[in-house]
Amino acid sequence: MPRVAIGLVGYYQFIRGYPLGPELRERLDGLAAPGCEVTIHEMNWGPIPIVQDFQASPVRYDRVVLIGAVDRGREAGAVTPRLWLGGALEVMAVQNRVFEAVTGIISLDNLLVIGAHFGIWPKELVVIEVQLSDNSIGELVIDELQVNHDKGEVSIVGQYPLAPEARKVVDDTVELARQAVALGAGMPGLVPLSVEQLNPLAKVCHNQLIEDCVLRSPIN
Amino acid sequence: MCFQNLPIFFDENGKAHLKEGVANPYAYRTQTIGERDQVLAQIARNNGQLRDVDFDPVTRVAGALAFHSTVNLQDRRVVDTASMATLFRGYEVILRGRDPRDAAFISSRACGVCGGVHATASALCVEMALGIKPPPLGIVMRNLMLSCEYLYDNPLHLFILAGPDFSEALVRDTNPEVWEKARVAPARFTALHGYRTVGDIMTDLNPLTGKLYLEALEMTRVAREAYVLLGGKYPHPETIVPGGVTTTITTTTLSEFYLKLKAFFDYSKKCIGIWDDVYDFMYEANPQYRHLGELPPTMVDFGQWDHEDHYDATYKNCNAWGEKRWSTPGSVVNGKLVTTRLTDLNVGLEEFVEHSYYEKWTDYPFKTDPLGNPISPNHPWNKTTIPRPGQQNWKERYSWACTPTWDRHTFEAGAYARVYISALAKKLPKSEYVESTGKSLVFNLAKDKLPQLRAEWKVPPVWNAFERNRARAYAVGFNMMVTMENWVRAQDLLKRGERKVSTPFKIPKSGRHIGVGFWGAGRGFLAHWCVIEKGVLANYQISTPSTVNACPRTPWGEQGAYERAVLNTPIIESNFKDAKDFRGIDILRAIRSFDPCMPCTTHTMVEGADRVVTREVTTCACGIG
Repeated sequence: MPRVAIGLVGYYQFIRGYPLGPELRERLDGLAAPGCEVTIHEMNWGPIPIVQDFQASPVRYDRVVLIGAVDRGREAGAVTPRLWLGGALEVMAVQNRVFEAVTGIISLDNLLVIGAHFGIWPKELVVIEVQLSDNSIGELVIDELQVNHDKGEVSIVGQYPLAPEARKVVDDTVELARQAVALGAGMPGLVPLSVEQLNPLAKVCHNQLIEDCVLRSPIN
Repeated sequence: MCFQNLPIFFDENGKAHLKEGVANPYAYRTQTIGERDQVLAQIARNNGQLRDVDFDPVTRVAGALAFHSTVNLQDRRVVDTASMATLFRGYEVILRGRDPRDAAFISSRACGVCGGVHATASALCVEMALGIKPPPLGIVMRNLMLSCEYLYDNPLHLFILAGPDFSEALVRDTNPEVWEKARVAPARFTALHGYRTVGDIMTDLNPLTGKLYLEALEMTRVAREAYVLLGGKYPHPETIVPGGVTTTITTTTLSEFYLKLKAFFDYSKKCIGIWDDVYDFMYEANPQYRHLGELPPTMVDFGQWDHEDHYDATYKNCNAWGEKRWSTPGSVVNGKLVTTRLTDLNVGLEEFVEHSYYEKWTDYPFKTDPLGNPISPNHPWNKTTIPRPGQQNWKERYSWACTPTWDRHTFEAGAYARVYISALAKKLPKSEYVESTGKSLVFNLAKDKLPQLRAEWKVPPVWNAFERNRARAYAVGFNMMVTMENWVRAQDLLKRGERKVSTPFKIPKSGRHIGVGFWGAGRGFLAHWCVIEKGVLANYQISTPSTVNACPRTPWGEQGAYERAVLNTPIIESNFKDAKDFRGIDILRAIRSFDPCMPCTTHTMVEGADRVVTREVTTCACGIG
């Protein structure tokens, strides 16, 4: 029986009030996957501990399905299944992602690269990318603050109802996850994903050099 | 004790009072845009070829931190800097209106690297507000768990984050003349690490392939596995609660824990030897390195690792139990220890938002702390987080980090601060493992494969990027021996029949209760403040080390630690012809010496700032939320 891991990248189940994640988790918990042994992993931390968890685990998965939000410039709400093809990166290109990873940033792209470098991915890795609207969390957070502020009172935060478009995102994600678990690389509609197609890393340092300058003398 | 800037004096009993006759004691001068323009004009005048200070807008930055430097390559100087936290964290907002028992679980997600420390700061904060004193074994268990986080975090910084900047690959590329010297420079501490030359060390610091790099990754695993033995899960443990921990501890657990962490006895010695060799060599290779990231030492740390005989979770007694911690709380201003009292640290703290994307709040509910000491309207207990996203403007608002100050000074936070302050304070409880001399910190690293080592960190004559890193290397040994102290105490408690690890409590449904969790992260200074009303969190504030270090300017124009440190950094990089192949390695070394960890400073993004939420977020309903 194939062993399949579903990794929820950046998801946290205990926060109430922002229902997309918890609802997705509940739906995935109930995923019917006949003929497969499915484990769901929280991956709401940096890639290095995830790599080490995989390395330390006696379980070797036949298939991994990663689900996470990533900005690929698609329409908000788009859910896209992709097949990870990997690819070669120079050492410093990987290390630059490690720099980000160890400063606590969670990123699907960094996880793919760092996981690949350390050889934790099985042959079949399907990535389900969710394109959220730019401001989904920020708006929720600010709305919530506004509600509290306007009321002038303190009250337990209630559940936001799941908007129809959000429900569709969950439905689409669960359906694609179901297919990915069952069929892996054989699922229909898979779009290839390789290192060249990942989002470029952000530069931390932006050095604006004063123009027309010429070195007076080299330092040594 | 006295403040230099805040109009507060202390009476003979150490109680703070506002000075009389000051009409508006917390008023401050705000640097105008015109004044800032004058500063920039002066920069332009001082840099002849600079026709206009045309700052890059740095739009659509995808990471959590962006650091902007204007560099005069001709003079090899950085002439202006700006540190931006590019994302909104939002935990203060997320936590408002929630059950206080949620706070530890949710705030833990403020960081994808060091979540346990936030959970603990949150637990301390709620237990102070509600008067919950944990049992001794619960206190000691929290200490041991904290130690694991430090033993994980500090090597991670030393070898994975900062280490590559001193590797053969980087040094040979940016400063071949330094590499040529390193290749033949004999190592002084071969007995501790086995390397014959500094060049050999640098080769093994190479990213992804170097033995020291890979060994450090392995050691982070060891520390995390040790944490899991006590805390069940890491990152984001769910066993830390107000009143203690929810875990079962036996002598077997402690034995397994010891067997895991034993590897750090020798590893601590190795860290000290490696980084002493590397930094001593770098100074010799080019004395200009002494100015890299140089600042007058001004730092604040709350101390950590509570003593189970003294900690009672009250604000009333916090000075007494704070000074009994296994690292001493304190504030150092320009190299001088000013105070070790937690109330003084709390009273002197303020947060400003004039250069941040937040609205200024108007409420001033707490004029004093619970002991009657005056606190500012800008104190975290009085602060309301009101996000105000907008376009970046270097002269006005440019960061999602606010600006914390202590006695109106911006300051540094870091693992090195707990070493520095503990060394100066001479207040560590008596221990056979660690000792403060008033000028240094001494720890006896036990024998394992290497012989016992009496290591001593001495307050350095200059405070710069290398000394921050060196102190962090010594912090590994300090952490390890505090771990041993607490491990022995845990064994003693078990032998005496102690089994209780937490104190049950109920959330009062009426009244107003305030608390503060004075704690620390691997990266330094960390505190959470809460106000509980009608059984829920009416206000919650988090102050993190990266906010402290990466903050934007104060309203009166004083820059934050990153900004000032880089401004003092000489450009020593030599192997470039023009702007295209300039690597900025010296600037990066200066910034990385602070062990930047931006997620705890920032998180989600909001409308109006031209950025997307999807990859930066660690947690809060994140990624998919």
